[in-house]
Amino acid sequence: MTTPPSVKPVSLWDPVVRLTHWSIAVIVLMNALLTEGGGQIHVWVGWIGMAILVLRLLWGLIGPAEARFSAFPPNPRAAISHLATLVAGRPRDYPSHNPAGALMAYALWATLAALMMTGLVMTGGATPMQIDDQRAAVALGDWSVLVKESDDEDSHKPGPWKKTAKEVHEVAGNLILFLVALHIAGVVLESRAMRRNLVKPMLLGAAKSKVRK
Amino acid sequence: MKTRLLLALALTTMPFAAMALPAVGDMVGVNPDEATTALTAAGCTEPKFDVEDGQIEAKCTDAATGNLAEIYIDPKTGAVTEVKMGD
Repeated sequence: MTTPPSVKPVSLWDPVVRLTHWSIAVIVLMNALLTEGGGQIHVWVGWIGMAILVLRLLWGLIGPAEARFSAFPPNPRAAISHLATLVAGRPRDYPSHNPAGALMAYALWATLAALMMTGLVMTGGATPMQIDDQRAAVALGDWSVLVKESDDEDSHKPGPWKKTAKEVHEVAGNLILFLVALHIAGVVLESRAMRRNLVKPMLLGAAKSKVRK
Repeated sequence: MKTRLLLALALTTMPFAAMALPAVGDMVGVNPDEATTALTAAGCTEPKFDVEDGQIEAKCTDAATGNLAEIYIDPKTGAVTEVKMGD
């Protein structure tokens, strides 16, 4: 087995990675804990989150080396191996996310995508602007704005898709909070084991990372 | 005496006990006036209407318990699709 090359970790993530990281953190906390499910702000925040997630995923294809998916491929075996080194108190550096952090990133993105897709199914794909218009009309006593031409007579019974979407949305909403807690615990543990503040490169940092030759 | 008191209490509270919230499938109307009348008659007082997931969400107070209730109404048929207690 070859020894991996010695690397210098990222000391400052690029602005897009930082912006998407913290804005997604705010969005998750807002929609999980503060906004009313299905409400106006919840839907707006969800759509903003969708745009930010798309930006981050696009950045994983065209961004700088450490932000690209190729720099942190999902590798469960490497993640377990990394956690073992962490438990032993000898975690090594990586030029991007470590394998466990990478798995967490993919898990968070997949859960976010599930939340957004099911949210779209639940709202019938209505944009936040359309929902604002509907609310304004309903506030004035006009409920007909919610009736679509395609609605059938049995529409009062929630369809299987909507029902399933709602259940998946609720499970994913709880799952993402669990993942966030796990992510924070991982950062704290790793920061202590490496005697280095891992939050700093995601905030202000100092300099660009370079692989040691 | 005690029995009479209990009987009187039971008789006076009977109308409230009989008023339950609307059930799924009940028709309450396709506009706020009809729905307010039907919901109030069913024990869901002072309903306030909003939109949630393409349906009408009526927030009201359960007259029997004083708890908040959320009644979801299909805007096309006027049928109750879901009843949730609390906020």
